[in-house]
Amino acid sequence: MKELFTNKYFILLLVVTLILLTAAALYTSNREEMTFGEDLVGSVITPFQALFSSAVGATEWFFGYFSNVDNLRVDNAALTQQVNSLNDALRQVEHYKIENERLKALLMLKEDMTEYGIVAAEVIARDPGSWYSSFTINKGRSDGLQARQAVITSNGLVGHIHEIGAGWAKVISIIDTQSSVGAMVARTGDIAVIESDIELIRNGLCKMTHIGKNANIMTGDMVETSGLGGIYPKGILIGRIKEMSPETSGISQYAIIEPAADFEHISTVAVLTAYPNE
Amino acid sequence: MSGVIYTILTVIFCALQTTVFEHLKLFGTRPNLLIALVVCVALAHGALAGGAVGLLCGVVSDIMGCGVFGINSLLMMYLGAGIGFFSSSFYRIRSIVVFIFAFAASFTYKIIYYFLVFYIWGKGAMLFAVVNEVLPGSLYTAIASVFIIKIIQFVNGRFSARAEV
Repeated sequence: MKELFTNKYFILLLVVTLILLTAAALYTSNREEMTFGEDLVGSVITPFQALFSSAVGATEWFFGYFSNVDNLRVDNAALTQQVNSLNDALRQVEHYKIENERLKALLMLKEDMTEYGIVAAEVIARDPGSWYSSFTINKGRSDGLQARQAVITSNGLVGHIHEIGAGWAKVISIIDTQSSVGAMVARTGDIAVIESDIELIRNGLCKMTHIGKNANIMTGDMVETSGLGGIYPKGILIGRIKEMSPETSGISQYAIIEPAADFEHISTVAVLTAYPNE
Repeated sequence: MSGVIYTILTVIFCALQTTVFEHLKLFGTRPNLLIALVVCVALAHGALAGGAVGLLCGVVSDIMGCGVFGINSLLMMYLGAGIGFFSSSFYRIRSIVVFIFAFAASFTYKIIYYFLVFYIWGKGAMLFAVVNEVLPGSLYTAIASVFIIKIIQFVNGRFSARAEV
């Protein structure tokens, strides 16, 4: 035993362990702002990630171009038809938009998305571990971003900025086990919390918990952010209810949510930098 | 000099693991190239180098990931140092040896990680994690390590040849 404690390698191992445990205790509680060292390491690795990401994108595009020529012809015909019908719909929408704006002005209501400050960013890498659903984006503090800002796609809510460096940021998605989102069922107004576990992450799903036993929620109901919790603004689409089940305790129920955003193929996101005053 | 090479390999493997291998999933999972690197270095150079590269790879994983800071650093450092003690047992490192050690190291790492970060907090069933992540992930990591040891041996060969000159 005495030999072990006089062994210099063992002492080295012990010292490094203590340093790491101290660092873990210091940085785990509040890791929104990265330390200089973390930012430096990230700034070295992210250019490689961006390079490999664009190489993968170019390869996929190249092979996809040749393998999908037949599909493209069929798609082209279908899309031409769709464009014609969409043009008709667009004229109708323009008409409604003008009318809507006039009514809004009358009611002195504020517009939604036009009042958000939005910064577009590219997803350049995924989490090194397979347990998480988080990713790295190519924008950071120097682009005006901050920790705890919401991240969306055109389909719906993606997550929020967890940690931020000078030119990069780590985003935790809403299907990650570390995420917790205040949610509301659009039709009924029921408030609940969106969470996840490793089984749901694997299937690209998440779970809405703390739903009252008597809540009148149905499969297919749309779920959006409630605005509670301080990170996500109210009214951003999260997804649809896939199935409802009672909790084992029997006093509440939970729902499996199919998120609107496609987390498997996410490549471009928008960070909400400013929210409208509600 | 080999320290610089292993630092560069760590950066490249981390970048590959988080980008290219996201599109090359096997059984729904990615290999952990950094664990494979730690195992290969530990077998080729011993406990001190294994522990040092383990610490480097762990710190990089902790910084680039969103999990609890420090857990990867500690686990990878212990794995590197532990496997390094076996390095003198092998006159020549065969692929099968690397495969077995990488599988065992990855399996141990993933089980401990799952237990500490998910199981005790009730965030995932053990059987699901073992069947869907621990076993396939360890197998893929072991396969990757067979290729990585060739890179390590190539780097070592170049440096020993240069030293002889």
